[in-house]
Formats: sequence, C-alpha cells, structure tokens
Amino acid sequence: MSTLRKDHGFLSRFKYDLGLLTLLALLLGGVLLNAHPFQFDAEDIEIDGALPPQVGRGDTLLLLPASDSVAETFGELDFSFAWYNTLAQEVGPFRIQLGSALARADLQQLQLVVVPARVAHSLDAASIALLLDFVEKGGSLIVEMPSPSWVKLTGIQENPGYAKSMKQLTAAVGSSLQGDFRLHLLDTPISGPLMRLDLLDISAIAHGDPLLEVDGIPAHFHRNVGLGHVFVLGFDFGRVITALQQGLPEDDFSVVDNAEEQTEFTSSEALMAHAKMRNAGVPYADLLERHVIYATLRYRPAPRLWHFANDALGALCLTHDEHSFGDRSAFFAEYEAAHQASSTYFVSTREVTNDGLDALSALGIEIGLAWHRSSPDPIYQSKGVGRFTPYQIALSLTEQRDLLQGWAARRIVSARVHDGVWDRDYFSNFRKLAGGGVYVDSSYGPSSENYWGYLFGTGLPFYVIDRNGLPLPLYELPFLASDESRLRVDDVDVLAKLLRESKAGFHQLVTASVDADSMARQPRSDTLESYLAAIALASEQKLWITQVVEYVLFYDSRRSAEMVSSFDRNTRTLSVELRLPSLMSPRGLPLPSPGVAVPASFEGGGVESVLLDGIKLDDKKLVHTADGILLIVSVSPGSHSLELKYRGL
Amino acid sequence: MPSGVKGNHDAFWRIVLWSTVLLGVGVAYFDANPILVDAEEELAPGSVLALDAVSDVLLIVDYGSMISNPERFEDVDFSLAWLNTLQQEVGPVAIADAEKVAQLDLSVYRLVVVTRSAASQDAWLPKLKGYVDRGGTLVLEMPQGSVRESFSADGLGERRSPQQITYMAGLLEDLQLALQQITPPTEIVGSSGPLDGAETLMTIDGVPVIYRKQLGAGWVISVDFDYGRLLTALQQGIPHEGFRVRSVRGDDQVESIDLAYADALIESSVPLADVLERFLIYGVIDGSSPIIGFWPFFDGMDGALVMTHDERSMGDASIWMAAHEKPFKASSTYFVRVPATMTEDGLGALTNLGIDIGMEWNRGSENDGAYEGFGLFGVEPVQRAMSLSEQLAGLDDTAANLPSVISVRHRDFLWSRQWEEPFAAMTAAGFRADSSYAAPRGRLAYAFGTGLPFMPLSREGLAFPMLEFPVSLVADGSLTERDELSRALSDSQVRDHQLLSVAFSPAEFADAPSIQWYLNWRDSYRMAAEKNHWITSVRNFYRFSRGRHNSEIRANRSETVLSGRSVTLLRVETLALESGMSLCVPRRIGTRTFSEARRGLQRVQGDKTPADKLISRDIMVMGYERVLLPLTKGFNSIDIIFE
Repeated sequence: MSTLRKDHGFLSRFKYDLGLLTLLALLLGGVLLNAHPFQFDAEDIEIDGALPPQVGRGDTLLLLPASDSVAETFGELDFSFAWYNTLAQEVGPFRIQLGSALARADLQQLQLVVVPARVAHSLDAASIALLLDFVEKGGSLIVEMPSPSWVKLTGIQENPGYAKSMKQLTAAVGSSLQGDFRLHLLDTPISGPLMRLDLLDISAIAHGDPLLEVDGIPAHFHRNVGLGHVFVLGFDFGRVITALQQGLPEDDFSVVDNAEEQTEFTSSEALMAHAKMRNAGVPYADLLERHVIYATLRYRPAPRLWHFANDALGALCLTHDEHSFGDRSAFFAEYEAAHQASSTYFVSTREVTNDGLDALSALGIEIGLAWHRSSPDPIYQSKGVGRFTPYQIALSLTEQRDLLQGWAARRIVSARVHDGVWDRDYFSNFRKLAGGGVYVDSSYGPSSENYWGYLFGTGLPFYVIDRNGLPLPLYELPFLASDESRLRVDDVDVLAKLLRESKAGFHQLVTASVDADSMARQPRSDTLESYLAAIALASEQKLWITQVVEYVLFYDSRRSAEMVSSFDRNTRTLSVELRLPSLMSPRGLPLPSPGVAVPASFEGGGVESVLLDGIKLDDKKLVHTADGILLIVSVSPGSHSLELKYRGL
Repeated sequence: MPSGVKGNHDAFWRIVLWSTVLLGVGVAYFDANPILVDAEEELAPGSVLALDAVSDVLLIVDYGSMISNPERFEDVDFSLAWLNTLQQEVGPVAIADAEKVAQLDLSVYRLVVVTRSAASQDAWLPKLKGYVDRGGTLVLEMPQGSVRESFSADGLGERRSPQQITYMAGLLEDLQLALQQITPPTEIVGSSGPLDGAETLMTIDGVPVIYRKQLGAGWVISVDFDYGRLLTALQQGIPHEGFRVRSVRGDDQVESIDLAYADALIESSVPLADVLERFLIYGVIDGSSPIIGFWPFFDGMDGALVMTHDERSMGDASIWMAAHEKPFKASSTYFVRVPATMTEDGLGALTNLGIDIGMEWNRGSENDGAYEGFGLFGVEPVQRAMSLSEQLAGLDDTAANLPSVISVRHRDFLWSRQWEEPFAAMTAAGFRADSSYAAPRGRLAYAFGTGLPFMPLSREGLAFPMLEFPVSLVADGSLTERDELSRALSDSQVRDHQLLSVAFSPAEFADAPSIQWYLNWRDSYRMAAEKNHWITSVRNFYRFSRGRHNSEIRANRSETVLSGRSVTLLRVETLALESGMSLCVPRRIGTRTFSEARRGLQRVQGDKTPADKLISRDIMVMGYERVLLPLTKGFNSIDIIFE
C-alpha cells in the first residue's frame, strides 16, 4: 500500500517531467523514422504477348498459327514468331496470315511463302494444296520441319523421327554465304530437335540442292516443284534463332547463371545460348537468317529493304546510362553535337534536373528510361504528412516513366534496366517492360569484364516472344560493347573492330553503352579512346550514327512500306514497285529511307542496268554489300519503280 | 519524509534528469557539428646558404647586414634571389658570406657578383680592383661608398620607386614590350650623370640602371636597382602590410594566385622574370664574360612538361591517368590527399608505373581539410586539423614502402594568410618541392614570371631549401586552354625554353566532366613531344635541377692559333652528376663564332686536332644565340673553338 502510494507520489511529482520526456522520445522517434523510414516494394504491371497487326505490304507471306497456348517448357514454346523477326530483319515489308485462314486470294502477287513448323503441322490438306498450286506456278516456299502431308512439295513421305538435340552444323555446300561467312555459319551454336532425314529414301534430297547439313544429316535443302521452288528445313530454325537472340533458359524457363549462389537477380549474360557468345565477333543468328533467306534469291531474284539509311553499310548507336550522374552527364552530348553525332541517354529519375533534360534534348539527345528495379536499387517515393515521411514506396516502372515524361515533356518509349539486373524468369522482365509502356528495351548486352560482341547473335532489334508464343509489343535491341565490360580487350578496341567488321560484311547496327559516370566510377582512358574512335570511324566509313528509338522507328517504317516485285525470266528483268513512308525522327529530323537491296547477280550474270523511276543509274555509284550478294539502291520516301536487268550467261 | 526534504530530493533528481538530457543533446549536437581546432604547424626558419661549389661564378652575400625581423616587404634584403638567377642559367654557383671574402682567392672565378647586402664593403676595394684588372668580371648591385666611387656612377640622385622599364639593349622588342606592362617593384639609384666610358644596357624611367665599363683586362657591371627585390616580387609574389596575404578576388580563402605581383603577370603568356634574368645573364654579362652553364633540360631538349595530377580523394580509381602514360614512358606527379583514400596497393601500383607520389596538403579550413576527431565511444565533439607533418606521417602509414615523398601541393592551390608561413611549414616537414603556385584555372599564364622552379626566400631574405614549381595551367577543359598550351609549347621550343607545369586532376570527370578536357590532356603529351619537350615529374625535374646545381664547371678562355687560324679557345672541364646533361655556351664571343667542340684530354695540341667532335645544336634563348653540347655523366673535358 505504502509502495503504491509512494509510486503514485513519484508519478504525480514527476508527471510534467515524464510528459516532457515522452514528448522528446516521440520527437526523437519521429526524427529517426524520418531518417530511416519503412520501405515497400513496387508493383509492376505485366502484359501478355498478342498477335501483331498487319502493317505494310510485301510479296512474302508468313503463315502463323492460330493457337496461343501457354508453354510450360522451353521445348513446348511456339517459335513461329522467330520467322516474323527474320523476315522483318532480312526482307522488310511482308504479309502475315493465320494458317487456318489461308485462302487463294492471300497468295496473289506473292513470290515467297514461309511456313513455320507449328503451322506446317496444323495446316489442312486444302491449304497445302493451295500452296502446291502456288509453287507449281512459280512461287517459292520455305517450310520448316514438314509432316508427310507435305510430300508433294517436300518429297518426304513418312515421318523420319527426330534427333533430340543438334550438335553442330557440319556442311553448308550450297549456301549463298561464301568464304569466312560460310565458316562462321558452320560455327553457329545450335540446339533443338533435328529431323532424321538420313533415315529416309533420300531421292527427294538427292534430286534437290543440299544447302546445310547438321551432324552429317541433311537439314536444309532445295527442290524444284513445277515452275517454283521449295526450301525444306529439317530443324527447328525458329527455336535456334530464338535461343540465340532472346536467350536460352532452363527448360522450365528459369534463368540460371554460373554463380555458386543463385541470388534473386542475375544478368542478361546468363541467357547466352552458348559460352562462346561471351566474346562473339560474329552475329550468328543473322548469318543463319541470311543463309536461309538468301538461298531463295538464287532461284528467283527479289528485293528487300536495306537495314540502314540509304546505302550506309552499317550503323552506330551510342547509348549512355546516366547512372544518377545528373546534369554532369551532358558532356557526352555536347561532344556529340559538336561532331555531328548523337546518342540515347538512359536516365534515372534520381538526380537529373528538368533543365538538364532540356539541355540534353536541345543537343539532339534521345531520352530513355533507366529502370530502377524494386530491388536491388530502387527509387523510393517518400510518403507521410508534410516533412514527416515515415515510409517509402519504390517507384514502379510506370511511375518512373511518368515522372521522366513529365520532366522531359515527351514520350519515353525506350528503357534499359539499371545496372543490368535481370529476373530469374525468362519472360517477366520483358512482360513488365511492355506493361510499363516501353517499346524498345536495350538491356541485353555484356556487363562482365572482357565480354563483348554479339552475345545474342545480332545487333539488330527483335520482337520478344512471350510464353504464349506471341510477341510482346516490345523490341529488344542488344548492345554489343560496354565500358562496364571494357571497350579494349587484349589490346583490341572491340568497338572499332565491331564497326569495321560491320562494314566489311556483317552489316550491323553496333550499339555501344558508355556510362555517363564511367570516368568517375571506373575511369580508364581506353573507354574514352574507344568512344572517340567510334565516332571518328563511323564518320570516316559513312556509317549511320543513330539512336535507339530512331532506329526502331526506321525499322518499323521499313516494315510498313509497300514493295512488290515481278521477275521476267525471259528478259531477266526484275521489276519492283515500292512506296516508302515519310516520317520524322524523334529528334525532329526527316527519318531517312532505307535503300532497296537486290541480288547483285542472277545465275552468274551481274546487273546490266538499273532504272529508277525510268532514269538509268550510274552503276559505279551503286553500293555492294561486302559479301557481294546484294546491291543497294538509294531511294527517297514516296513511290518509286525500279527495274533491274541481269546479264545473260 | 518531510515535504521540504522531499522537495529537495525531487529537485536533485530533476536536475540530474535534465542535465543528462541536456548533456545527451549537447553531445549529439557537437558530434554532428564538432568544434574545429586549428593545427599547430611546425615552422622552420630560412637558412643561411654557403656553397663551396666548383664554379666560375661567385655570389657574395652579407648575411650580417640582413634585418632579422623586417616589418615590410620593402625592408627585406633579397640578395639571395641572385642565386635563383645564376643557378637557373648557369647551374653550379659558389656563395660566400661577406666575412669570408677576405680569405678568398677571387682569381679562380670568372664572374663575381657582389649583392646589395655586401655593397658597402670599402675594405674590399683593393681586392676587387685587382680582380677586375686581371680580367675578372664584377657585378655590383647598388654599390655604395668607395666601391661605388671606383666602379660606378656617382649615385647622387635620390633613391626612388620607378614607373617603367624604358630600355633593354638588344632584347627582342616584344619581350621588352611585355616587361613594360608592369611597374617594376624595386628601388632605383639615380646619379648626376652617366659613368664616363660606360655602356648603358638598361634604363628605368630613362635612368641608366645597368651599365658596364671595361677596367684593365676586366669588366665592371653596375646594377643600380634592387634586382633581388624585383625578381622575388615577380616570382614569389608580394604580401601586404605585415607580410599578410589577402584574397584580391573577394573570396574568403586565400589562393596562391593572390600572391601574384600584378594583373599583367596573371595574364602573361611571357615568363617575365625569365626575360629579366636572361637579359641580365646573356644580354649583359655574357658580353663581358662568356656564360658557360648547364642546360636546364634533360638531353638538350627545348623545354619540359611536368604533368601533375591532384588525386582529390578519388582513391585507387585515379590510377587511370598513370596507366595511360605508361605506354609512352611518360612520368607524372600524383598529389595524394590525406587522409588517404588510396590504398597501399594503389600507391604501390602508381610507384610501379613510375609515378612520383607527392602529397596534397589538405589544410584544415572551415568546411574542408584533414581533421582528427577527439572523443570517446565514437562520439567526437572536437576535431583538430592535422598538421602538415601529421598528414605526411599519415601517408607514410598508408604505404610504408613508398619512396620518400619530396613534393607537396596545397589543396585547390590555397595559400596561407602569412606570406612565407607555408614554405616554413613545408621545409620543417622535409619537403623539397612545392607546386602550389598556380595560374588562374583554365588560363595558361606565367603568373609568377616563370615556369622554372625557384628557391623561395623568407621574410629575412634567407633561403628555404626547397624549390617552388609554379603551375602554368590548371586545366578546366576549355578549347582555348589547348590552344594556349600549344602556343606556349611552341614559344618554349623556339624562344622561351620553359618548364610548363600543368595540372590535370583524374577526379575532374567526377566533378566537371568534359571530353575537351580529356583531349587537352591527351594531346598535351603529343604536343610536348612534337615540340621536343621533356615529359617528366616534379621529382625527376627536381633531381635533375639539383644535379645541375651540384655539378662542377670550370672554363678557361684563351686566344690561340689553330691550323694557322686565330681562334678563341674555351677549355671547359665539368663534372656532370646526372646523365642527359648538356653544356650551354655562347654562339659568339666578341667577333668570333662557334666553330666546333671536341672532347678528351689533350684535345688541342699545337696544330693537331684529334677526333671526338661533339655534335652541337644551335638554339635561341629569348633571342640570344647559344650552342648546346652534350655531356656524358661524370668528368668531361671539352675544347670549344670560336673563329
């Protein structure tokens, strides 16, 4: 009792002191909470792949499957859209149609039809008959891993069975690619099933032209059918291309790297299809694509739209991750503006100011988003009342993009994942990027020391295939060299090497990443030397210096062009009608037109004359690709007619 | 408990409670905003120099006449500044204190300079007369008494501060015009008329201040102005009242540029102090006594580029510039900040790349600098600035096996509010080279009249045994600075023959990145190589300079007949302590022109001229024709023939 009274007395006597102390403790707690607030992750939206709309008009038709079933394993994935990427890259404008909806009218004014494996297995007899008729009248057909139903076109009468996994390309005797290009082709990493055509009566192949052998087994051959041509692929070309470009996950779509401990995130390098891609100077995916598409040109010349502006033989795309370096990052832009160059900045919303972004834009710079993932390096938004902000929520991709758009007063459609972190799921990063309104991602590329080159088989953009086999509305544009992984390896300036070899034969978009804070964080004079040399080299070699979104708009404009051709075998004359759209680039300049590329020879005869809109072109001014296969004619936007006559033998 | 006792008891605990709270708040506050305490710097006074060098040149200084604690810059006797001139242009110079002159045999010297400090020694008159009569060349700075009466004009005009240099005989016109841009910070002695038979070589405000006259077989050259003060003011800068320095830029902090004597200097692309020195040596003295000296640059190159890098806490990442320099075997100096961000491995890597590691004097100031915290349990309410010696010890602690650090630079080219105090502290800490004097950022200029190193002097006029390497360019990445550097290197190659110290900080890309800055830096090596400049570090240049000063040189001139031709023969004997040294001799002596030089003992005997002819190179030093002859390390005996 007395104790209670005593306690009561103590509390009573010190009640003001204790009250004040409690208030101070609360204040201190508030200050501490303000300094170290609770933090919560962001929620990013994901979207599914969908069938793209028909754009442009060409004389090539791609048949697509109707189903969109979600694959559980990589082997189950529908790779038909790898053909979509191939045609977009190697042809330009083409038509698409669902295989199940194929009608005779779809085959009008066509010179080539492409049938991916999934369609080849689902197409009914009537549709196959339509295609047979098309070929017999002079059309060309590429069919991938056909079933015996295609026997009249392929000569393959029974199902030969499959080898589970290919090992190596062993011969390419009939390939249009010559010399080193053919050697590189044979070095292409391949995987996936292979038809055991060697187990069949090989008369169909024997009477045709073998184009490619895998593990000693015919894997790609040509045969004449009526007046037309059939090109049979005995392996899953789509799967090989997808594995090279988009990467090769585990069968359950998980991404595993070589680290002992598999942390929450990895890098895109973990998706490389083969260890040798870590410093591949060869765009293997593109070589394989060109082998397949060029094979058709030998029998029927056809035009395609060139990959670059006018008759440039390659392009350079410089990118700079702003890396929270803020307005100081502008020094690259200033140099580029003074040297008729430009670049894309991937900007974090952390440090850069509105004025800084305005200054970049005024220098002709394209702004993309450096996407900070919720983990490991999120950008938080503080929440609370007034200056009391006891908790923070990480900004989602959409919020980061909105913030940057608000500042930059423009549409941000390109992105790169900050610090190259990548999900352990094959699709989720892409699904989030697409869900966040990003149209071009440029996160694939080297980040580990001494990695460089075509880690993903190409320098050109490709659509990303979702788990349902349909493309996400998102391009991936891989970069080929980065200061992070070093631009000089074993005393070789890899960027200069890539640019030189691009012009000398690979004809690529060489995208390089040089972080704006590189010289502050991991300074090396090699980085700047390489960067400076690249700009000088691009200018000297008349390469197109472009930007991420600008190039993708150009790439899209190629696809949305109209281009049809006819070939008179008697007069050996190729006639092309085309209409090229006129667009503006994001930096406010007219978007350049692609050149028209046509075979430089037919059946051994070179080009005798070229008429553009009835005017004869000086053949000395025409540019040839380094492999000698194509000849490029520069054209302006608008409608044109082109007529090429080949010499007879 | 009675209520009164209880009340006291409560009050006690209340005091304890709130005192504890207050103490906690106070400690937390001062931990975040510590009390800063200045460093206690150890200071070394200036030194009395007496050099017993084997040389043709003797400098006489009367240390006894120097004022021990002058109040004004104007009161200081800067006679030792002559040593800067003579060492820079000749190399080895003997210095004698006035009290030793009586015992000296002057005949072993071809040139004797009696400085202002020793200008009133009447007792020396017979000795000086005898020296001149026998062919010696005597230079007298502001002589007095019977020495003046015997050798110089009467000096009856008042001593006064002049306005402008008006005439310098034979000096290139553009260099004269450049010097006329400044008011000479000196005092001149006027006379009632010119000295009979003397040739006037320089006038200030129309008053002859340098003139020479032949007496007997020798020459007397009178310098009737305070040459030491003029040179010191140009090179070391001048303080305000009480030797204090204040910012003339309206800034809180004092920078070395605040010491520059005049605005004309700050913008000058001509090294005005060197113009004055070379005029005196080659334009005045060389006409009476041929100047034979060691060329200041390695391998007879036309100049030097000293590349310096302020590490500025960038740590091991700063090595990138050294790595770039390695392939073309260039060297440079890194000024590393303390407390060191660089690791032992980083410093070791720099050393392996051949880099000279210097220290940045991270002097404590209000918001910056190196401080040591004092407190308990991680709470440090008091922070004391680290002295220079403590910072050096800190650097040594980081990397114990470093070569001794001899060079230093103030952070951001700051300076003290006391004119000489930094030199006194640097000397006390054992540094031998400072590179804190700098032109304004982004402008190439000889703000201190020279790019060549000079020995700083104390307020008593005594020497700090170290060399100051003024920085001519602190790069900021402008296009103009590249052009200015290119022009300065060109001028240096054909006229000025300078050391261009430049500062390119590897941390620049963190603070103010610029591609042009990088190109300026990268191209500076190419430009320097194209202009035949030695690309080196502070340490290497210091060592080479000290080697020059400590080497030996003796020359003997005679008229003789060789192969039936009358020639002037200079027989020179040298001890070259460094490899890559060259001899710099006049191209003409009187009416005779350099013909050839041969190496070896017994080189010329009668009519015989054995082989071993040296490959000579003609150069122009600020308009004065000179010839460079290569030396081998060690003893060289050379006959130089003029005909």
